[in-house]
Amino acid sequence: MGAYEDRADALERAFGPLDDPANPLGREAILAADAAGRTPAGAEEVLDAHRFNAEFVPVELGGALSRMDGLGRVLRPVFRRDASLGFGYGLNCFFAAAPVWIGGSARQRAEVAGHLLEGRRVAVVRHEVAHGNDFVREEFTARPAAGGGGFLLDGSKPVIANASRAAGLVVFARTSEGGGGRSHSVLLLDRPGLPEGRLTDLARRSTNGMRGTEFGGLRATGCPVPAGALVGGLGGGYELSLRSSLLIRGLIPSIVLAGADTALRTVARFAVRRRAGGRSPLDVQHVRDVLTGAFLDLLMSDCLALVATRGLHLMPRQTSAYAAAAAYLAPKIIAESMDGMSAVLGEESLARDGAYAMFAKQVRDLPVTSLGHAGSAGRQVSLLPQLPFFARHVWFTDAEAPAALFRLHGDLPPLDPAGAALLGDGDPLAATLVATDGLLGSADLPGDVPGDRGALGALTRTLVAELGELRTAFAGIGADDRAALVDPRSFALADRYALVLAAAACLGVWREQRSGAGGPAGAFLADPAWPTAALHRLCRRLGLPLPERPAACESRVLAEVLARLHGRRSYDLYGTELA
Amino acid sequence: MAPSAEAAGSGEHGGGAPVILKAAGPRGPWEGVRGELAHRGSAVVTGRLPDWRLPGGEAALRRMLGRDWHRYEAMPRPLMKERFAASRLLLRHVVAAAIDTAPEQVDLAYQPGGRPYVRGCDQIDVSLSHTRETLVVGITRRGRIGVDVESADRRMAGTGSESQGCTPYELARLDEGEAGDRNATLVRLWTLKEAYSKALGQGLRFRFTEFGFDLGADRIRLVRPDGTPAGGGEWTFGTGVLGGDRNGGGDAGDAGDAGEYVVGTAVCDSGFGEASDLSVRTALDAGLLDALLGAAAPPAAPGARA
Repeated sequence: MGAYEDRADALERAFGPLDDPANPLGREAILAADAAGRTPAGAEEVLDAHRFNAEFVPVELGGALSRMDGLGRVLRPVFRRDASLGFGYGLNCFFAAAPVWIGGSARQRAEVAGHLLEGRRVAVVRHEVAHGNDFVREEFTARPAAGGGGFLLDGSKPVIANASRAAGLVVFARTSEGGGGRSHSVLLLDRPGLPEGRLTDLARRSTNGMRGTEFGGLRATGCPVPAGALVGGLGGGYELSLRSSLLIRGLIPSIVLAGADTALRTVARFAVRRRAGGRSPLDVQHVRDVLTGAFLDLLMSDCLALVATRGLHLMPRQTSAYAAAAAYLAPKIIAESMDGMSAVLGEESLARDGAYAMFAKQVRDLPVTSLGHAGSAGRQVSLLPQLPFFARHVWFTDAEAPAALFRLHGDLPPLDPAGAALLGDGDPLAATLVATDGLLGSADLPGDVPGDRGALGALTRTLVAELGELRTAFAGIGADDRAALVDPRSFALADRYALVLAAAACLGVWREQRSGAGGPAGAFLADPAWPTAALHRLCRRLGLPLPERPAACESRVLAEVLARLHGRRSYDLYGTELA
Repeated sequence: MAPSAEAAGSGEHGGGAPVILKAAGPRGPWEGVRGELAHRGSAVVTGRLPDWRLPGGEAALRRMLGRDWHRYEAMPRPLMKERFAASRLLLRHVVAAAIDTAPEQVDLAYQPGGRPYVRGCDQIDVSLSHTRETLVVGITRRGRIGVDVESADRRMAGTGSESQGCTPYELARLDEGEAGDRNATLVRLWTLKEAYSKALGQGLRFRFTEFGFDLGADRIRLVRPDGTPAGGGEWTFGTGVLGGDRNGGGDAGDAGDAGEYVVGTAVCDSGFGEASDLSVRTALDAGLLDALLGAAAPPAAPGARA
């Protein structure tokens, strides 16, 4: 992890202080570029110089990607500044490359690695999905070309990130008229090699968020594609789509929490100002609550990120649900805290320039990074079918997750992008919740802090009871009983399950920190204050009867918010130094 | 259900703001809500308190309210309880019509700031408001929505609401206008402010003197306190007038219900474009589900793990 930490730090320093007016890559430059619908001048050159594209290419192909938690960290310095830059330059290329890393031949993998390592872009043309929006609407079809071998590609797709500048295109195309799970296939296209005029650009679409990313479109008209373009087998499109999602989802919390880090820092700076008469917004309890809650939401999201990324290395057969839950929940809870922060900023939340305008930009960008309902629906597809099995066979009987899952640092087994199971055969994270309940009841693990005696234990027990309710509800549903799975109650229960997992992840991280891992955030993370306040917030989201507010714990969390504001450290689990 | 004649005026004020539909009771009909959601992307539905009592006593109400039951039980005043139950009942019916399910299947939840949402179903966003015997529900598929209803005769001109609820720009515009319109304009501004703040999940926490509205003839715009534009092209605001219940059927409302109501709406478009299929039954992509269940069948028993 040391190497990853160093690379993230180097990027942070290269971009320099956001709040320095003289910084050519500071706040003013970023906001001006955003208003003009482009990325800040010189920013991509900084990324080039730091080989940011190599972060998305596995080490065995000459890149730097060796672990997913590390990739999540190296994204943060970029996404704290400009989601358009991070997404357009790099992350969207990883989304495009993932099916090839998973299912591509050696030649195809080398081709995509070559594009990225030589500074070219790769874009993805997705298949249509149920409840799709403009970002996932329409799709290409590929029919067998006459005269043996290859395909002819037709159709159009309106919203594709990097459409016009990508040299490599990864296309999910319909290859069979029938329904079922094998109707689509993945094709890898080398755009410069295609015959003239068969694949044309559509107009760029302007978006309210991530204005600097090019969202263009493509139209194929009888475009010939060689047989060797097929990635994986014919009809393997949906499976590659699911496997790619499993790899990608753990990164979603990192990008939303990086943007929200900047938002929270902006609002915290606003809140600590002294006004005439010596008063400050921070004197208002509600303002303190919003700052505290926002930081807790970032910590919860980061705990989910940790589990979803390290899980791919440590327990690839059980991580599918955690990846889906992380990508499902983090954007939702962070959007909620952004709303609370808007009210604290008041008039300044509407500012398009000035000291607080970065806030409005983060609010605009956030929904685009998570795709709204279409994103949630995709994650629910992965999550829901697993829960009946967990309810019948796994919950309350499984062994808890290994301690290494919750470590902020420390080695991991190598990543096998194709090796993770789409449906988990166990739920060790839920077992961590149950086991923590047992420990908090014993003398081994005191959960008390002054003023909030026993609160963590009581909250943990409440969440274990919630898991018990989930077990009762899902035990009655067959894993392939689709009518029961698409009942709104099931969607609601899956949402509850994601919140229970978030609590379990917080408890796991806290317990691991108590064993003395240290780091800049060590003492804070080992303190039971933050998991107590986090679990209280999660129980409230679950609509569960609440014990008294853990006021002392919340004060401790707020003190950390302010300490990190003044000490210029990141609002995530790592508390790294900012430029 | 039919669009109320009075609310047709909202088009003048609100551009693309939703029209106001009246819901006579739990039996619907609900085609209007589905139609408005498909056509405009949002719907505003009003109901009268007496029409939204659930038959079947406490047991039926408890089943319907789910986790809201504890809140209901803890409420001290009967009228508060009645409004709470009626508004949740209306909200559940509107949601059920929109996402193609039954009202008791809807899991109503609340964000930490108190904003209601439908747990697990983010294809829609909802908002709720009531005053006296009038209930209002807003629902949208575009992103987020806030609604607020106030009595049109609510006294605001010359009260503290002017200085506490208006920006310098708004006060100046009020002073320029006809004295006779002042109160009506203040009520409109108030409903818009509440609607915007509720769309952000903030109730009254967003300080009303820190954002304002330009009630332009063609379009209502969000403005900063000095009247300069606040951007926010993704927002659509509207106000409509809802008739009183003098001719409104059997149950006589209290005297106050004979007057008119003003409904403010704020809708934010997340920019994902048209997505008219909101049914929960089609939310899971069949192809992905086939691939998931086919490609990797769940292990038969935990013992099979290697």
